[in-house]
Amino acid sequence: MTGSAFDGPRDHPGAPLARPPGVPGPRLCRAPRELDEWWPTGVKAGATLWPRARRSSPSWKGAWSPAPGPAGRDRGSSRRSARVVVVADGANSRFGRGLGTQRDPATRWVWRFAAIFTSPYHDEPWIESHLDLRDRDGNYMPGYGWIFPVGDARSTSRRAARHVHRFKTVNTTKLMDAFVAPHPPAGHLARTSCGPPVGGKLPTGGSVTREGGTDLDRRRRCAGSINPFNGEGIAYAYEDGRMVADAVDEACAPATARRPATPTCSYARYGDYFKVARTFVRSSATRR
Amino acid sequence: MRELTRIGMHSHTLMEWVLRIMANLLRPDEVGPAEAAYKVVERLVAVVPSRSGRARRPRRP
Repeated sequence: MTGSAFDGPRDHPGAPLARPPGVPGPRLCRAPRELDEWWPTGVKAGATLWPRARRSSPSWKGAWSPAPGPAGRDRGSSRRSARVVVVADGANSRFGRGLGTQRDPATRWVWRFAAIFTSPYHDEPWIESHLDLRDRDGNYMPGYGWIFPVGDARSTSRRAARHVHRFKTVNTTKLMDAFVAPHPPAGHLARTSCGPPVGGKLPTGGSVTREGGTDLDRRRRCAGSINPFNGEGIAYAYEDGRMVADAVDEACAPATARRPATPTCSYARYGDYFKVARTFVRSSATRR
Repeated sequence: MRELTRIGMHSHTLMEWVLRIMANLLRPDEVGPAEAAYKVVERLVAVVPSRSGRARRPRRP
């Protein structure tokens, strides 16, 4: 991946991606099956994998009194305990809700959905950014679209529509069709979708909090780190992942080797910025 | 928003500042017009109380 292009790489070549010296070219998109291939690597390194395990009831022995566990409720269930738990099950984390996280209903959602298409341009070194979206009648549509070449004869098309109030009135298939329609039949998106668009609502910056607790307080606002200005969240996800890795490293280190300063979270770093963004969105958006 | 778009679309400089602010590409070590404008906005927003909605009761396990 060498750069990004706006409204099509063949018409308007864009800017190259920043690449630190010594770092190989970034790949910004990977096929799901490629991610699945990483699991055996972790198992070889000593991890234990429960492929079809499902969390039924987390119990927290910190500030709360221990809650009854799932043992005995379902056949084959068992109780697992851990010193460190990383909750990474998506924006609407059921596990996180079980631990007491909640979203501020006054903040806006960002809505993102994606579809995968077969494409003759699957190995192009460009990301297409479509910032000027219009429907078949030429009317402007909210949000923006991206096309990532996956590299295995497919391309993934993503669209972020931000600040949507009434999700029930939004039809993802129609929106994706409107995004794909202007593309030529022989272009990147050749009308050969591998499936319907999938996606969901994402909480914006600092909107997910957890009241109470002890250890989680230090990093309680790592969730919901989407930039309210533009719906961008990949960079914050990378930062949060690095911070979580530091936090796990700190928690697993011997008490004598622990660093005095705890790793911060993205909200501590960008809290003021997120507040400016939320205020802008609230003052500029039109409620229909 | 319509007025902001109308003005911004005709001002390359203004659009550049706004895009840098919205994409969080401000450089703290460099004090340019965009950084200065953002600092003013940040101070204004800092005095605005956070508008928090009615928090739902958290689920306890």
